[in-house]
Amino acid sequence: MHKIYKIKVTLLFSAFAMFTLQLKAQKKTKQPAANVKMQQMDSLKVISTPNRLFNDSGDKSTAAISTMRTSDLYKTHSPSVSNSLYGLPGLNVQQTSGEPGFEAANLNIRGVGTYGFTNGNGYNTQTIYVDGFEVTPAYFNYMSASEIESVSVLKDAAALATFGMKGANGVIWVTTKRGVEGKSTVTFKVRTGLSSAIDINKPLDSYHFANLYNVAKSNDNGNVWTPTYTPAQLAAYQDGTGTNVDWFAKTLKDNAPYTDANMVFSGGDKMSKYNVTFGYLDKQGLYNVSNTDSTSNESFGRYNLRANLDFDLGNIFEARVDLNGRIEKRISPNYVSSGRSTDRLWTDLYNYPSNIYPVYDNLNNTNLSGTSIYPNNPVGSLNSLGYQSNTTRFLQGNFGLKEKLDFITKGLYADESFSYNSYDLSTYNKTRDYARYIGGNTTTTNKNSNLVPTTNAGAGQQDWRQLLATIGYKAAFGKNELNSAVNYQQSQYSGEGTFGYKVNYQNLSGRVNYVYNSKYIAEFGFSEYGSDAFAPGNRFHFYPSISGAWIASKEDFLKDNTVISQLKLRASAGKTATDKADAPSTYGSGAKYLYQQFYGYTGNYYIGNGTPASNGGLYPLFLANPNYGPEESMKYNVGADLTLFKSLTVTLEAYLDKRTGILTQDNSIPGSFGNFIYFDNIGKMTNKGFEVAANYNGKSREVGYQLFGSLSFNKNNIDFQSEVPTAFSYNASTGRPFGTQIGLVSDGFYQLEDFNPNGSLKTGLSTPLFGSVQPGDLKYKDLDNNGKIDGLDVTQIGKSFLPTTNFSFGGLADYKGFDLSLLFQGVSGNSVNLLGNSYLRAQNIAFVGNTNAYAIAEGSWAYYPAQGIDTRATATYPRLTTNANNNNYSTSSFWIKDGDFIRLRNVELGYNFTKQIITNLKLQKLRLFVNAINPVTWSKLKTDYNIDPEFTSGYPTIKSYTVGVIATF
Amino acid sequence: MKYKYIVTIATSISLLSMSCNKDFLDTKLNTEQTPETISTSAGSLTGFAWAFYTPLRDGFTALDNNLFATVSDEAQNNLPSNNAIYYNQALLSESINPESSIYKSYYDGIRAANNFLDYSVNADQLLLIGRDPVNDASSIATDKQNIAWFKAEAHIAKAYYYMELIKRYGGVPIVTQTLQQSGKVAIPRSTYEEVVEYIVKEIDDNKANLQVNWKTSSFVANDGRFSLGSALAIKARVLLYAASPLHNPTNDVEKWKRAAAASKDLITAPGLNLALNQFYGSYFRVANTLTSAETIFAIRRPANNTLEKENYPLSIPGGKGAISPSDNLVSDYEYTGAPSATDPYANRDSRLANTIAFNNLTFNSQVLDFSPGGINDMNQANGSKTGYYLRKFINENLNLVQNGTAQHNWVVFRYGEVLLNYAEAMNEAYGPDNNNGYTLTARQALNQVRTRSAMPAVNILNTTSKDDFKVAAKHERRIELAFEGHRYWDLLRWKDAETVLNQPIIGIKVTKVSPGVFTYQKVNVAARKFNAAANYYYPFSRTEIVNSQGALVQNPNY
Repeated sequence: MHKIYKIKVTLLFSAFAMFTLQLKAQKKTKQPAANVKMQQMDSLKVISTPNRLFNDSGDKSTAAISTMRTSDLYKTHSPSVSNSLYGLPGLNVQQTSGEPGFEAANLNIRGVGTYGFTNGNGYNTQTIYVDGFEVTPAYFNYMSASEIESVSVLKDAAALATFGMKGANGVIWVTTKRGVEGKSTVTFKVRTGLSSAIDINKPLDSYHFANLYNVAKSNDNGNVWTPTYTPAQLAAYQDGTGTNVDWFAKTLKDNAPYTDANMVFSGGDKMSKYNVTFGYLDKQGLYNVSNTDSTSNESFGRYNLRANLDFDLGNIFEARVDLNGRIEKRISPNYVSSGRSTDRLWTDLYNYPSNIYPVYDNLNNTNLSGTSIYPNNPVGSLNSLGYQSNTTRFLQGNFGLKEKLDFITKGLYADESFSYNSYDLSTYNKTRDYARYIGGNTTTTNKNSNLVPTTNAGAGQQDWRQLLATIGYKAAFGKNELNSAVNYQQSQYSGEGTFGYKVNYQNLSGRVNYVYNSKYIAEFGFSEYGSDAFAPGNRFHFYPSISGAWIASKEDFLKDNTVISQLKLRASAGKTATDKADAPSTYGSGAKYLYQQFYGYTGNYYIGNGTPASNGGLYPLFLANPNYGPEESMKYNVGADLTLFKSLTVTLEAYLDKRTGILTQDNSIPGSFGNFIYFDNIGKMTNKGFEVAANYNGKSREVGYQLFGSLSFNKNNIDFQSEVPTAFSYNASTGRPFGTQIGLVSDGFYQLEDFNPNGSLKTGLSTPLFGSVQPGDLKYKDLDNNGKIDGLDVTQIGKSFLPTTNFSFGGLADYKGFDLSLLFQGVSGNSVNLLGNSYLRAQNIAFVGNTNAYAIAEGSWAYYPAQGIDTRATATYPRLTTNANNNNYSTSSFWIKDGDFIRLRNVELGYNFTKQIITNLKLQKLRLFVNAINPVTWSKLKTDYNIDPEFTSGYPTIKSYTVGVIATF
Repeated sequence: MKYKYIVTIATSISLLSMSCNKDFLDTKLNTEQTPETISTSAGSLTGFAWAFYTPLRDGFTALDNNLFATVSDEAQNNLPSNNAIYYNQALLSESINPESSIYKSYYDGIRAANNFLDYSVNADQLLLIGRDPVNDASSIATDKQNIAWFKAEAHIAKAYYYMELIKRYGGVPIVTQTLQQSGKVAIPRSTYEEVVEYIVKEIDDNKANLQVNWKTSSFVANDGRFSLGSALAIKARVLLYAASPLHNPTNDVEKWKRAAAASKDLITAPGLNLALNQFYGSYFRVANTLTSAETIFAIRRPANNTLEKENYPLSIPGGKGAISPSDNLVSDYEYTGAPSATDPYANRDSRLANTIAFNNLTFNSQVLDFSPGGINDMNQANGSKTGYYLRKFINENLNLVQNGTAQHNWVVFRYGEVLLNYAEAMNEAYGPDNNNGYTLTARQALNQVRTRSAMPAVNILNTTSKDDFKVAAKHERRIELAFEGHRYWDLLRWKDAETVLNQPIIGIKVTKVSPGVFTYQKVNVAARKFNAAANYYYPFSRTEIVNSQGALVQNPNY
């Protein structure tokens, strides 16, 4: 251990010991601790985990934390628990694709605080803990909802005080279910149903495609009508004799089965308690292919087991043993790339027109069609390339021991716990290839080949050892209450196989919570955190926080108020950080250690007069920065917890997050320096916003009901990011929110009148520098009035792709055993670029690069009076072309649309059988329910462009309908 | 006494936390090279040396994954999306330049060369690592010689990169050391002439330390590194460019004399044994060019079929037909006999059929047919726009369906070009028929090139004047060096670009009369635009201008 740190540790523990002793000395007139019964403040309560979050009483907390319980997780059900977190104020959840085993949501806490490098998205870098130990997103994302007791979001400096370099982007704190004293129970939970695509934007059929293609070709031919498709061909498309293949229909099914089954054993006595969860989940994909020896649909299977055991070993010791194992099996046709980002199947489905070829090239359906331009016949590729599968195994064991040291001094305790978490990924593929034919001849290099199995038993491996040691003291004397602890965490992570690196850290943290007269609360927290990412001497950094709260409702003037049942005001300020801001991995795996110099062989130079011999050049991967340190966040928060009429609870939060030292590549280095890549802690951002959450419980006659809603607003600003100064301030992305859309400002279409007879633009009109233009092309505003439309005419043309506002609302009602619940969720304040990713480009750019055409292209500008085509006045899309067109398809306001939407996330109708019926069946509880996830969406993007607002990749977003039963014996 | 327990517990936790490995936070990577690993390995010397070679670019993938020819009047790019359009439509700007990455990557090479010169100061110690000075004396001596060559080559590499940079940008900053963060100050542009002098000095100062000719040395496996021949060829080409109208507006004849002398030095340098390859066609289309006495410096590529995939006619499975050679070029090939009424490609300079695949020619066992309904129908999607496909450089025998590959070598300097450089400079300096005491006159040099392709000598009657001969020399460069990446830069340095590159690209419309009988008609394929006020130089990217904080002055009219 570092020498200075060693001294600090000793000093801190000595100080803590002395402090405890002093308190003990004062504690002559000992009184039992005031045991204030808490008001119903469930939403703020953090489940006790025996370490850093020792402030288990929501009443005494000064922190901004929001929590969700298991029952809600089970309602908005998804294989990935990350999709069930809607409704937590301050946690923004963005659903992604519904691809089995890849449906994890993008999460961010309080919006975007950093544009930092990690994962390529600085907004998705919160740290996740399960039962006090840090876990990977992959571990958390596919936990079973049945094993989770609660999920909390830690948002402000008071909540994050002890997390040091893990706190800057917030923390998700998960606790798992533990046994409680009482009768043993066995609970079965089974749900099964069907899932289907929310929406798929299908391309035009051959007839409509060909009609538009004729226009496009004529446009490219100087507006002279030169159709490619003859009237006879068009007629054939229309009467069904021409080639017209709906590739989506040929490769996809309407729906796919989905099953989740869990069994929970729980119970315990004074001595020991247990909770054992056993789960099975299976989700099939939407591909129309059977599971055989050589083909496979996509699917995700999960088998998980968790046993949480508690032992009370007498007056001093309490022990915990948690064992958790999980197997995840993912299978997919060998027509996807494992990274999912360049998914071949969906790319081809969106890009391949309906009229390219029939599925088979011969009548007896043995030769699959394919051309060099369209090589991957979607049906053939789905059925004739084999499949890929991988198996992920998690094995985790936690052991904890708590010592109640009341024999030394009342309220003193110590706790030590250890965690071993192991991860293994192995792959097994069976692949082959098929020949592509046209007219009886092969057209590509592909040949029919036999199935070849390949296996990689050690595709990924991780071992993670963590140690936590806590010493705490909790006491009350007179009007004073004290709750304090010091915690030491040591984490040792190593990965082999594809990982090949280590991550170690140490964190000495602590907290002192002091309450006076049950009304005034002050808290101090700190973390002395050491990260292995930095140079010796620069590894340890200190992060303090202070916070306070005032329970006003306990003051005399509010004590008997009939309106305000409870009022608590909170404020916090403090510093946290992150050490996870590595440079992009393109700079080598040494990018984590930017303080060290690394070299690598890059490029090849060939010599010799026979077969050329290759020689790699040795280059510095980047220039070392010995001062490289953590990105730091200064957080401020004020909040209020309010209960009115004993039934309406309201929580308000407002925050400010000042981020400094964001790791950023220095972009100010002249090119004449040559290979000079330098990263430094120079970026700055500001993020602020607020959250409101309300909950109302009511009952009228026999109907009990609950209404709830929450809203989060986040607004950030990039203050400095080493952007090369732009020519005009309006060009810059600095000074604007992260992800702001920057581009040209569209100004309608060029009309016939804008051109001279020789086709040149009339004088007075600015010349676009993206290529020559003709009538029907997009016209842009010349912002700098220099007579040219170029890269200097870009400005903010929309909002960020991330919403500023996330909201949810809903309610539940019960009547005589029946219950109905609804949850709506939506976002506002974001923009979607219709050309924003390759899948959106495929749908919204017609024909270019031999691609498809969609309904949007039918609104194109066209003028062929002899053919009866004239859309000059009504056009909603630029003139069609088959050529690349940098003028029309540049990022411009024309393609930027509002991304606002509201979705009904879940609706569930259930019936709980009455006691009389179930006691006869020897049951404690029996519930039947029907449930729908994502059944209805309101979105302008969907109505106008047939694009789902959460469409991010090829595989569509999913809705599902399930029925289920919960039975407790 | 209870506080004793507390102290005990506090101490035991402290001990627990300290019981971990002392170097707990000293996690290390053993997968990357570090200063320690390179300082103990002689291999780092050659590693740093190859680093100044790796930024070299061959011309096969210069633009749009294809030849650079489509920016000039040699050809039109046929693909719906291509970067040649920025040249064709005079759209180069501060923010748009398909070759903008060259600036940084050639300075990468210059930095690597400077870095190697710094690092190799300790070469002698590094070479002794793990060796016995007595027993290993001979291999140590060989390695020392090798490093000495590399040191000289580092200077030649810099000369090469500066040659390529000033061709594009005019004067550029001269960087003579490995720049560090502490001195993060942009270096201002030197003038074009200053960089030319710097290149000449680098070559003159270091040529004595270069390997003369790898091909004929006992280190033939190292052929492909810079040699005396490449150094002199760089100098000859740089001085030719420097004497040309773009850089020599007053037509200072001394510059031409200097260029002629530099070419003469190369032609007569002992040990180089330069000679023209016997056949033009086989040099480019069939044989391994590396062992030919014509090759001075070539960049090798491992066997591949990129060029064939891009440029095979569309009728051959796997071919894209990306480059459509222009009829502007085709019509410049001389007739060797009476023009045929039915076949415009009969009786032409033999280099035509070695450069262009035209209608009715047999290519990869197919007879090309560009007429409507033919296998290369120009109206089909991505069909040839001009009625021609590329033939030069292409290996016609590959089966792309079976992913057949062939090795290709990009010849940077060859004797044919040297003779033409010499002819052009000698004519400007001394006229077509004055040898100034050198071995060859301008005319003799030019005719050597023509004779190889069985073309008649340039007629003395028609080209007695300097100006007539200049036309002949320019014509010969266009034909002989077609598609080798010279045309665009020749047009710029001659200041002919504003006329030639504002002419439309012409193609041929082929009509079939009967099987094997065609008619041919010229058609305009694409308009071209060249902005004489700006396009003679590349624009520096805006980022460079801004980051130089005033040190880098933008070229005019960008």
